[in-house]
Parts: sequence; C-alpha cells; structure tokens
Amino acid sequence: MTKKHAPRKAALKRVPLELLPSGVPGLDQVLGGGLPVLSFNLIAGSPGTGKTTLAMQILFANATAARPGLYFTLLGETALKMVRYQQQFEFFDLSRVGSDVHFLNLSDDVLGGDLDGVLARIVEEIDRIRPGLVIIDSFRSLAGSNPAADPARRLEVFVQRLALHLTTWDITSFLIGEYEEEELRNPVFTVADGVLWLSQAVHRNSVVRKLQVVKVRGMELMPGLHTVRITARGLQVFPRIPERAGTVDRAGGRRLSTGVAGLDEMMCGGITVGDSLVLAGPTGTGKTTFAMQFVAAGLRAGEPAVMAVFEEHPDVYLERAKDFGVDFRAAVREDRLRIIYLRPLDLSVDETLEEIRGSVEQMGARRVVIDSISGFEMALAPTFREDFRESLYRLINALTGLGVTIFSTVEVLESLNGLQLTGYRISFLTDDIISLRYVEIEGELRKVLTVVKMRGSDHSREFRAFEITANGVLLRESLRHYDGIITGVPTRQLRTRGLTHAGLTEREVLVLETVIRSGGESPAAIARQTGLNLRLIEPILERLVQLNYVSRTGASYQGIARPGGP
Amino acid sequence: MMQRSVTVTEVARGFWARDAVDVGAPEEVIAAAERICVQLQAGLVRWVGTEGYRALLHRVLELARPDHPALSRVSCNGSDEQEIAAAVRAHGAAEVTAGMVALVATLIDLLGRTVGEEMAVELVNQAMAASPRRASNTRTEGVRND
Repeated sequence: MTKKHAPRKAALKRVPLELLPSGVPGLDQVLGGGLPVLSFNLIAGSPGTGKTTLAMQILFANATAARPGLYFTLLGETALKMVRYQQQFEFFDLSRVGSDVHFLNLSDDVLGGDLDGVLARIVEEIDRIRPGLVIIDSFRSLAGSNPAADPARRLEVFVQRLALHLTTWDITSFLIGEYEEEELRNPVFTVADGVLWLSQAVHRNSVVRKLQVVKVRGMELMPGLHTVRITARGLQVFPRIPERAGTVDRAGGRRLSTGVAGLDEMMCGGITVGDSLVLAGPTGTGKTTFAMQFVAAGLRAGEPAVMAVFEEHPDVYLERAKDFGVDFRAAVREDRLRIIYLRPLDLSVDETLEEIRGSVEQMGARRVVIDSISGFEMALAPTFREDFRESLYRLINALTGLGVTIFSTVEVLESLNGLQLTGYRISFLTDDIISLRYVEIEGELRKVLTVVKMRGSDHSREFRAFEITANGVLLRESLRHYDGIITGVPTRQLRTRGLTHAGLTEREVLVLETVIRSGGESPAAIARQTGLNLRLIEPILERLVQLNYVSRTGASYQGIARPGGP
Repeated sequence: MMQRSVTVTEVARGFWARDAVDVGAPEEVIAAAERICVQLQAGLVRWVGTEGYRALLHRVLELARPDHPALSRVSCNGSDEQEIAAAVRAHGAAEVTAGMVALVATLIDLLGRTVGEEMAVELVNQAMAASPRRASNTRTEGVRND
C-alpha cells in the first residue's frame, strides 16, 4: 500500500520586527537596528547612571500627537522636577509637553500601597491618552509601598500584570528601576523583552558611564559594555568597537609616501595602503615631525588626512607645518585636514574611534595619524587603561577596516643595553614598525632609524642616521660600517677591513678609517674619535705614513687614495 | 510683596478673563474662582501629587495674602465655593477678583522657578483647559455686588 503524504504547506512568511529608533546616537547600532515595537523593556541601573534621561530621549524621539508618549512618575522625582531638569537637554521640547508627551505623577496612588489601584490608574490614563509609548519611573518604588506584603513578590506580580496589559494595548513600554548588578537574576528581568543596563565605573577621580544591552528579544545585539557620555544633547552611546569583519582592501599593494626623502626607498616604495605603521622612539627623536611629514605628503598628493593628537595643542602642529612647505591651516579651512585634539582624562577608546571614524567618513580621509599612543593612553580613563592593548587592537582594526593608512607614534624609554622596538608590546597589532633611537658615534649623540618590520614586504635592514632640521627630517649616512648600534654605543667594524688592508692591525685600521673619513685631523683629534690613547696613536700614524696609507701636512694627517682601498 | 514680571500678571488676568463671563457680577466671580480652583487642583496634582499641590498652594497663599486680604480664608485646594462666596461677601467681588488673579500669578511664578515661566504658563493653561468646567450658574446667597 502506498503511503499518502499530506500536501506540503507553503512556507509561512516571517513577520519582520518593526523597530523604533531610540533617538540615542549609537544605541541603535548596539541594539541591532532599534527597539522592537510593542516590546516591554526594563531600564535598570544604579542612581545617576542616566536611566531617566535615556527613557526621556526615547520618549521624545518617538512620541507624536497621534501616538503620544506617557510618562508616569511613581515615587521620588515628581513630574514637575523631572521637567525642570530634563528641559536642560536639547532633545526636550517644552512645546510638545501636553500634546505629544504627557506626564503624570502617581505618588498618591503609590503611597496608598494599593498596587491594584496603581495598575487601575495606569490603565485609566492609558485608556484616556491612548499612547504609543509608556514609561514608568521608577517601578521599583512600588515594592516598598506596602510594608505588610512581601515586596519582591508583589513587584513581580505587578510587573507581570502590567506587562500583560501593556502588550495588549499596542504599546512599547519602558520600566525604570534602580538595581545593582548582583540583582540581575531578579525574576522581574525574565518578564521583560528587553533589558538595558546602565552603570558607572568609578576609579579614583574618574567616572565612566557604561551601557549593556543585556537582552532584547528577537534582535542581534552588539555584546559588551559600551561607553556612554551625557552631554547637553543627552546620552550618546559609543558602541564597543567590533572586531573587523573580512579583510582590508590594500589597494593592490599601492604605497603611500612617508614624505621623508630616502625613507620610502628603505620601505621599498613607502607604506602599503591600509597598513598600520608604528613609529617608536624615545623623547626628542622627532616622532611628531615624521608624522607631520606623512600628513604633508598626503596633502600634496590630494589625500585628506585626520590627525588625532593627544600631547601638543593643534596650533603647535599648524605652526610647525609651515616648515614642510604645506599650509596646514589652509588644509584645515578647506576640510582636507582635521586635527582632533582629545585631552579629557576620562576618555574611552570607543569615543576616540567615533571621533576619528566620523571625520574619516565625512571627509574621505586616506591617512590617519595618532600622535601619540602614549598620550592616548594617558587621556583614557583609568578603567580603560587596564585593557589598553586590547582596545588599541580594536581601534586599529576598525580604522584600517575603513581602508585608511594609520601612522602612529609611540614613546619608548631609551634602553642602554638593547633596542626597544615599540614598547607597550603592541608590535603584534601593527603591520609596519620603524624604530628611532639615540646612539653615540664619535663622541656625538646621533639619531638613527631602522625599519624593523613590514608585513608582507621586503625592506631595508640598515640603520640610517638622521637629523631633524628646520625643514623636517633629513636622512643621513648608512651606519653599515658600525657594529653594536642597538647598544647605543656602536663601534666601527674592523673584521672586513683586515682583508682590505692586509698587514695592518685592528687598531691601525681603525685609525686609518678615522683619518680617511675626517679628511685631515691632528693626532689629538684622531685619538678623541677613536678612543685610543694619544701615545698609541702617534706610532700608528707614523707606521701608516711609512706604508703610504697616510700623508702628513704639518700636524695634520690625511688618507691617501689607493685603488681598491677604503 | 513678591516681585514678578508684568507678563505673569497679564497672563493671570487673561486666565481670569477667559473664565469669568461677567467679571463684575458676584455670582460670576464666585463661579469663575471656584472653577479655577478645581481646574488648577485637578491639573497640577497630575504633576506634583496631592501633597505636592497642597504644599505649593500653601506657599502661594502665604505670598499672595499680605496684598490681598480677600484671600485670607480661601484655600483654593479643589472646590472652595463656600469660602470664596464668604470672601466676596466680606471684601467684594473686585477684591476677590484681584486676589484670584494674584493667586494664579503667584502660582505661575513659583512653578516658573522650577520649570521656567513659559512652561509654568503652559502647565496652568493645560490645567485650565483639561478639567471639565463646572456649571457656571452657581447660585450663592447674600453676595455683595460691588
């Protein structure tokens, strides 16, 4: 017998969630698009975290005369007081109070302790005003309104009943409650479709507000704690920088000029587009000058740039830029350059990113400078410094994800016994590293640089001396004839010279090299430059004269050019 | 005496004039004053609660009474018909009218300190507009017609 199958049903169409904009910059991104219409939400957190302001901002963003917003105040702040303080925010439009937005104080009903009465009153007002959005602030005060009853249980039942009513009324609702983090398992939270949790981290004198969307049913949320700042515009959420999705478009390996003559050659053509380069060096080595030349080169090539500066005031950059032949002031006026000066000491990485990203997107910037990572860390609130490396990783990832090329500077402590590449142990998050350092050569303090790393590219391995001049960075000679540069006190190489000057001792070669390089020096000067005793220098010089390596004119010795010689 | 802007007094006069059909007639004064007291209470309790409104009104009367003895026995906390009628008998309709205008002006003034003058005017306006008007043909015996 053939088994008969029921005809297959056509696939049922899913109903997409209609979303309300929160009216809070950054929050919709965290929510995965917005707040689901008809959802029953809790806004929880400790006092002073911005719960009421958040609710009010949502209210004003969505209330209309046809579907007004209704704000119930229970105990605590009266509606009048609320208007007093909330009108300080730009989103609070006084002219909409009484038409789009209604306030109602229910303290009388709450003080009576009759939660059925409170619910009945809420129902009555909702019936009268027919709102699309309802906020109840603060519902937790209901728990203690009747000392005879079990407060937690009473509140749970109340919230359950209220949720049922609000859902059937075609209303999106928010209950505001003061809760501490350890109370997150409270049964009240299971009733809600959405839970927005506000908190503030206090570290010494620094206070940082944060928001976590614990849950919103049906939405793909951005997890984690997101920084919140409250300004005259209300709350702004800075979504925690997400991991970069996909790969960066490296523009087919195109290179950007560093703006420093000779350095591009060392980097086989410059910085690869989309790379993150870190320039590390001790104080005074000219890191900011390098960074400015990178920007100047971009401006000359018609590439807009953003500089995030944390140490010196933008005016200093604008003034110094004149030396590089590029008018930074004009570039700022024409919005080809933005200098973002961030120095508050309670900054978050996400706020910084938002500033930089906003500028990059608005002006189509191709180059970003961060001067310096060390200053950036100092500007962060202590709570963010703890996970600075991780935050920096996310920041750089997010920016290079936009296709920009990042040039960051970082200050490292001068090490006397080795080359400290970048400090901060952040080399893993950069594509390219250039290291600057001081060395002592022939009794002079010199600056040298080397390209330590270029991801996926060949580069010069040599150390080059450089100077910071009035016109910017000037690359000097290669130090390929020196050993021990990373110790800070290099010595001339002697091992290969023995082959060139057969029969000479190492000391004789050293003296000969010094004489040739100097072009004419007295024995005392040669002794100074080689570090050898004068009494040793004189017989060496005599022997070099006899062997026709060196000639003497008065008290001065010069090298004699020899085929195949040095 | 409280210093207040001319505007607030004008606004208060406007509210009074809007509600009083025949400003001179004692019955109309009583009815208008009664309506205003009921409407203010119903409208503002929504914002500050019963206790809050009582406290607010207490302060308003405290400030207004020295210049308006006609308000000495008026409470204006909801329906206050008997006291208002007594005030009209004792001081005359014109004095009670002036007292009620001062009461509303002082109320706007005090509210204005909390939420700003414009918002305060709007709140009073909404209170007057939202509450149901009571019958305007209230009859009161023995009222002096000044």
